[in-house]
Amino acid sequence: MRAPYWVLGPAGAILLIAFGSAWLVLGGGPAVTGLGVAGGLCLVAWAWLDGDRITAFSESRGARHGSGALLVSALGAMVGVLAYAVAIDHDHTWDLTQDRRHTLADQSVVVAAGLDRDIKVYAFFREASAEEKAFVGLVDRLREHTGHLTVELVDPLRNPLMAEQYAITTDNGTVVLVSGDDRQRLEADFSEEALVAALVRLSSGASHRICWATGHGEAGADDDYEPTGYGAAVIKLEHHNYEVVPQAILTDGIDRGCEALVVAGPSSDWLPREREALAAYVAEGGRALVLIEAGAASELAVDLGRYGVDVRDDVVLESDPSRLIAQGDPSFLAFYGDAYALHPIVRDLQGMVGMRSVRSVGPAEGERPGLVVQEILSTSASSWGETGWRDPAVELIADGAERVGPVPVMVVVEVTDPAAIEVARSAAAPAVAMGEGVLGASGDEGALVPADLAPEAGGRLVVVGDADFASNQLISVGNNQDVFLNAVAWLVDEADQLGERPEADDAQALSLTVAQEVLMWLVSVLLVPLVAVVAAIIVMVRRRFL
Amino acid sequence: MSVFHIAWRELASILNTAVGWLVLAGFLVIAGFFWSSMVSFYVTQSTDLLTNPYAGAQMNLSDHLLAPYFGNVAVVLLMICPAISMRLFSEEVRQRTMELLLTAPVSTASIVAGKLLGALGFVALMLASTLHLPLTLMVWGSPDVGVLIGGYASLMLVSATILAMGMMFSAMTANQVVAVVLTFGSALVLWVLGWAGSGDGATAEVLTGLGLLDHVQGFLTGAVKLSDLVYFAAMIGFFSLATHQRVEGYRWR
Repeated sequence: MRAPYWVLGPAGAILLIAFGSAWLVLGGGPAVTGLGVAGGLCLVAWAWLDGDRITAFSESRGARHGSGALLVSALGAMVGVLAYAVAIDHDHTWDLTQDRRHTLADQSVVVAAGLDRDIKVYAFFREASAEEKAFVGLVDRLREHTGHLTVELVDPLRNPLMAEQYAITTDNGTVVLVSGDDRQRLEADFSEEALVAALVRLSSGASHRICWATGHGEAGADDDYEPTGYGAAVIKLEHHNYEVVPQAILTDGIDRGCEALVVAGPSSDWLPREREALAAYVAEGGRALVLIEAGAASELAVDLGRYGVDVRDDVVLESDPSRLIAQGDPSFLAFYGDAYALHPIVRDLQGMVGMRSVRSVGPAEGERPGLVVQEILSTSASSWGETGWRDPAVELIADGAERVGPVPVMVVVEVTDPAAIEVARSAAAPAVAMGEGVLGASGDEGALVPADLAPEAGGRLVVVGDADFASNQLISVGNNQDVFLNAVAWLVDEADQLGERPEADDAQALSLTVAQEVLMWLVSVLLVPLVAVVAAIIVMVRRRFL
Repeated sequence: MSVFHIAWRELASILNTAVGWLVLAGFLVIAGFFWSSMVSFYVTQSTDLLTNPYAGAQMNLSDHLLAPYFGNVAVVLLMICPAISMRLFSEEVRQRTMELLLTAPVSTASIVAGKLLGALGFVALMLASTLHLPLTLMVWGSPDVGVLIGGYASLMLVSATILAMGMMFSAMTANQVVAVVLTFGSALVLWVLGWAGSGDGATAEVLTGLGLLDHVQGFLTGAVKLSDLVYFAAMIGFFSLATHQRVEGYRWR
């Protein structure tokens, strides 16, 4: 009887497979090398000791076909691996969901592509939880546009030391973004909007200083509860790396350190000296966003004419129902499609902007050298600016004196020559400091104008005939937040921040009555399977008796 | 045409036995049980959502009901598909009809493709029988149709992969029990490779890339990736090719 040398063959193969696996997992070492050497020695010994049988087998027809089949199968496997590798390199995702959950918003793509520093994302989630999967999918989509983003998944229960190091106190999910010494933290909200905002905060070193004008009955910038407040808008600004500080114009003038001034819905008028302060600020290259409600701050509205902006005392009404958000309210307008001009603030918007009780704001008549004025948001041809809106007795129809559609409601102004803006200088001594003695200095329109006024081109102004589109109540409507944030971004020259932002996912509640639940259980667990059981009985009977 | 003829013959051979219908009934009971219990759980969670919007702010039908449901059904298919595929060639060998099949005027490729399609047709029938479940959800809620399409596509692709693998093992042995054990074991390995690959490094990436789980996740959330499609095509193609080579071997005997 021949010695069972053939055992050496499978043994060698097993050792080599073990060597390959260990090398993949452990990455080398004496023991791993030993496995490889032992496997190789077994195969050599098998070939030497059992050579005649191997030769006889290899010359058989079965062996020839078997080796051919193995070769073809191996080639097939190689083609498959190659195709998969190519697909990984040129991967593409088709988003089947109705609300485009797997498609990044334009602004997210811009932010990801613009990352210029490495950011490590530590995602502390329970392993394999739905939140973890959703977050990983989101990070993967962002990583398709940048090489600067890496992610490490950590289960805080399995890795308590790391959880301690990053001060994780919950296993419901915490995300820590680290770039050098800077950190950002997300808790509870792991949406695309929140993550991208954190990336923006982390990637852009310094924050922009936005001054929020106060002192004219504006709704609170720190009020994120009342519908009329602007707290939600301010929070969104802060999420996008803006520092928002209040600016009392009357007492402090306008700080030159403000990168942009936001005038959000003044209900009382600006004094002449405040208006001159604004003019001086813009003439020095300052940027301002003016949101002005219908019927409010009439003198400020008129004064905007010096920037080439015609703000009228009317309310735009719409007769086309498809352009209305609330049927029956002709003043609650929906802007979409051709309402947007080719301007960075609005050109990329795909959705709708909703504004209520908007006044018309357009370029002033006549050429204004030194000022470039462009209307960027307008209503439809079936709208008009109703001037008799205060009088309940007036029939709401367009008459000859009123502006008819398309009615502009938002304009941007670029100052190419500051001389185009007439600024009244102080009649007092030029050494008047900002805000000093302002309240007592009646009649001096230039009291808040800096003594060392240094006009320069580059000033920008965005004027909107509505303010409450950015309020807590309406900022989440359609693309309202995009119009607001894009306007600020355009004012401070932040091209990365322009675009359409992701919408927050809505929670989906499901309510069933007990009867509905019982019905569902009966149908799904009993009735439908019963049909298959009946079919089985029929088949059995037919096969046995027919 | 011969492919579809063989596929129909294969499907009919399953449906002409009581066992085929009982397998279908069993699958429907399990899928229905998963569905009704998961919907009930979701409804309970929704009650919390109404009283505490903060807690349920991230809750949605796609991630918290449809994806887990399809994931569970995929695991059930992991167990049923080997039972469907075990007889594809083993039965021919056992009943000594393999020679008859091989001498028929059809190519080996047609035989392999036809048998795979026939088995897949039965899985399609099983999955079609569960369509009433999400349809009821469309009456009571507003599920994302894209996620539903992705979920069913993932189940078909997972089934096709396991069936192709089972067909290969079935062609390798005349013993159906051996075929089903090999198929189920291998399918399980493919499934858990994704878990083994959780972590960092090239090894984890290779293991995850090899496993079924990672390639199903995208479908379950309504995202169809080119790499996932290529993965399933490569797996089905490889197992079919290996089966083809094995069946060709019978001609040499």
